Amino acid sequence: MPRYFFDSDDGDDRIVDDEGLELPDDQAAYKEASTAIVELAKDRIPADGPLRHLQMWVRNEEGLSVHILTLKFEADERLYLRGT
Amino acid sequence: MQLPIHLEANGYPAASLLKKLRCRDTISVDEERIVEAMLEGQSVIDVRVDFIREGDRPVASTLLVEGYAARYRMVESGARQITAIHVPGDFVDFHSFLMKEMDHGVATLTPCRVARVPHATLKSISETQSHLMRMFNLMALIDGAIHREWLVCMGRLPAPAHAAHLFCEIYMLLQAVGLARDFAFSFPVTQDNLADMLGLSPVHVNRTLQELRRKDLIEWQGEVLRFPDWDRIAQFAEFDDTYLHLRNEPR
Repeated sequence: MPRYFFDSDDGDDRIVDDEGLELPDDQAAYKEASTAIVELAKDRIPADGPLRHLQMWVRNEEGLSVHILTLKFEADERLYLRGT
Repeated sequence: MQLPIHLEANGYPAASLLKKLRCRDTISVDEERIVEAMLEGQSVIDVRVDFIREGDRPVASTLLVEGYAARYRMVESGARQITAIHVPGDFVDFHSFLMKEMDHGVATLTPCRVARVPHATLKSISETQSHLMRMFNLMALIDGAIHREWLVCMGRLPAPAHAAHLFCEIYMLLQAVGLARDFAFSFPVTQDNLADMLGLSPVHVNRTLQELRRKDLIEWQGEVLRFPDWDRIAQFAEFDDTYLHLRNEPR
């Protein structure tokens, strides 16, 4: 099975995956990445700010991008700032 | 088949169970003899074997002598949730003595050595050895306390603290049976296993471990997991070992 690498950025830190995961194909890698980015969001969507962008890059063994996922969290900034 | 090196140190089959009991209360020489005599039919089981299945009706309870095993349940999507990790000295299904039908499976996470205790033997111990039976019941109650702690971690802690909490727990359990010391222990499990323990995807588990490494809370080389600073990881994980009831007192 091919190995895929999942780099991620939670809006503060980018973590490069140097271990990777063996998966059957690109579609399986997509499924894993989409589950993982939501799990990351669960801990990172801020209660103390109106914006957070999460990203995940899936690379294959040749180092080529297979998928790029972005999760954007945006509260209405005007209303948010009025409340602070 | 190679058994995890650090987990075979206790030698004879009853050693880990006796240490586990002696952490919590005095065990007499007579009781020790009974514990040694109740173990029958040792066997070695390879890694990733479902050796007790949901729906089984075992006629003996299985004591883990060496290695790591896990209780688990599968859901229809094919996803697996590990509901408990077992270390040497644990009964993986003491409850099958009274519950009869297994409501979950048990699988090896590493090669394991196990011993069987026939339910008929447990029944006779329950009739003649009230203190020993209270101690076995205590072990089952502690299993329940661990389940409660897992529920709290799973429901309320962020992934890095949840993972750190699990590592602290396994370390304390191994230390109690003399299989870990100096804040390091053998933990040769796969990332998929960890994902099933934490209820997270393997990708997020991988990120979580990298985060713990970056914060210098764990070092994981080969199969050995080490804590550079116990107080720091315990605080990070909100780990308090009260629920493991490691105090020696009359019970």
